[in-house]
Amino acid sequence: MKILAPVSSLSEALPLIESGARELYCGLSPAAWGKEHGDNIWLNRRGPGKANLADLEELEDIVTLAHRKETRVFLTMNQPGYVKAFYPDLVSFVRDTLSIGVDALIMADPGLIKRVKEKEPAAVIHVSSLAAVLNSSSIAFFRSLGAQRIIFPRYLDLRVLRKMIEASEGDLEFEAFVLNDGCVFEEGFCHVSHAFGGAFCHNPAWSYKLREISSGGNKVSQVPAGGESFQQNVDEYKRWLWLGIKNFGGFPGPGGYPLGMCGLCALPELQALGIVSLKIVGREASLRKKAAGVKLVRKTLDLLEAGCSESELRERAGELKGVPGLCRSGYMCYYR
Amino acid sequence: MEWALAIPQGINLKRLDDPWAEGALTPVTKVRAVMEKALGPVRFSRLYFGQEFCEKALPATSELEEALAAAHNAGLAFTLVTPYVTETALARSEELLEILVRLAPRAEVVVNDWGILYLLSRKFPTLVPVLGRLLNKILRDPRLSGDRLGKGEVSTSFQTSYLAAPAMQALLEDFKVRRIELDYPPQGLDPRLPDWGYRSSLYVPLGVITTGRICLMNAWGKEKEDKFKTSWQACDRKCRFYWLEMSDPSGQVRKSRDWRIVQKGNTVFYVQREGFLAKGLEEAARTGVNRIVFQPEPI
Repeated sequence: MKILAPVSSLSEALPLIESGARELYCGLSPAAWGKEHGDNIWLNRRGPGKANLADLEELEDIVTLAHRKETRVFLTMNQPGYVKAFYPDLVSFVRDTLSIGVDALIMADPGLIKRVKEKEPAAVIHVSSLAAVLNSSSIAFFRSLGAQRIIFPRYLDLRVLRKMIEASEGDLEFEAFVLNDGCVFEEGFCHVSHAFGGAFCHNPAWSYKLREISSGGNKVSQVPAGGESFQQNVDEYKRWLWLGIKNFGGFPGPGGYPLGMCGLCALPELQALGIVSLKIVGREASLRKKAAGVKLVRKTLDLLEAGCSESELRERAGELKGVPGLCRSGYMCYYR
Repeated sequence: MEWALAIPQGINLKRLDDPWAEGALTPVTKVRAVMEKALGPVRFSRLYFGQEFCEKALPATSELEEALAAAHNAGLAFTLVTPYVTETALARSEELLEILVRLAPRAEVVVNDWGILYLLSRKFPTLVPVLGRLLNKILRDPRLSGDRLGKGEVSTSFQTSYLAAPAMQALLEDFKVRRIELDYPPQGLDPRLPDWGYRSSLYVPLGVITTGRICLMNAWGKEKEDKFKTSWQACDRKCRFYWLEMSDPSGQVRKSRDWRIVQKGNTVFYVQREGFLAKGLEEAARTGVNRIVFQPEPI
């Protein structure tokens, strides 16, 4: 399994490759796009700024460097849907990026995938987690459009992943999340934009008033056994948000490795499933965090490749993260 | 205008006898008044049965049979509404489609998952696919208003949909999709909706903000290690008994006179208030929407 790391500048590429990444992914936010379409309409799921490369020249430099190091580079064009007015710019953008050697495009919009494969049949398409590929029929749908890799959305149970892969044709690659950043909801069905003040979902300020449904004037509530109040459930929800979704506020663990969502303990199962690529999330993160994430996954993969048993690997991965209590909570697990 | 009554599950089928019974989330009498003022008398001619959001709330085969019989008895056309599904519920969805195609071979199926659309095209070609509103990626962000909307072309970019792009039109033509579904978004409907090339349906009075497989309500009462998990967990469907009124004291999402924000089960909605609802219906009539889906309860 290869480690897929986010990169947002040329200066990050070499340290990430030297840390163990064999695949890089990035986004581009050309000035011309912002000028044409405004600040609130993004070319990919991250806005202008530190998450994206500024221009094609920097992307070309990264591709050249990465290829010299036998590392592939993928470009995100992962908005769930692009409107008609953007197509001329998008198609020409795709041509430009392919001409400089980008190895694959990460896309979620079936219409755009269809159009790109018509215009550039050699383009390699990875289906973004934004496409919400949750079942084998959806895999078949995107395969029929010419996709070569499926990026599984977060939190698909390992048994579900196994069934999906077993029911699919054997010529596809599969990629799974391994580190950093959760989503509360299904990102492919989230109809809000981070452009309008950040994530709508994990704002810790949300307040919930529990309302009981009445039927003919009678309350029909059913309080769960065990006596937990709903507010206690909400308090626990906010703890889960902090630990898993918001990555423990971005603070690293005692060993310097990132906390937050993680699939390290599942590496043996992911390998057995035939997952080829392990995705580290966080294009907007610092190089320090990105590199620490790559090193953490690399060390855990080394343990696996050295023949560590599943239980031993679980224990050692927990030791590496340095927060066994939090690991035991399960609130930082992509796969549980 | 065609009127459809949406009923999410078998126990709600009694609404067929009294469509205007008050709902937990929806002030039905007020919504009816707005709908009739905008578009004239409401006469339902179609039943939407099922829901879009939760595979754990898929109807049992017996519920589907009951709903089909109820629609037949009431003289209503039938549409099965399906949610996004993991592999776990794909087989159950297929079972439902097998029953549907046997009992109503030309019924409509609302799809909210590309896999279900693919399944229909391969195994159930007589059923009529309708592209559900979760696959229509128009933003429905309550923060999208005022200055953020911009003017002219910028505003239009938020109103139109990827469904209007020629590549998507061709793709949906391949899959025999002729009808697409909409919410009325904060930024309003696209004035050029008639040019998208589809028949269109508008849901009232709830718009979808976001939905997911991790369910706050399902977590209630579970041991900590079992909270906030996704598949394979049993669900006791507390969403039948409760819903949540949401507010944001931080002001990131401001209170609005146009809607209130609620969560039912695994999904967050904006419940449209009368003025906003009226505006949506007027725009719907103006832009060629030819079906209103009245959905008092979403799950």
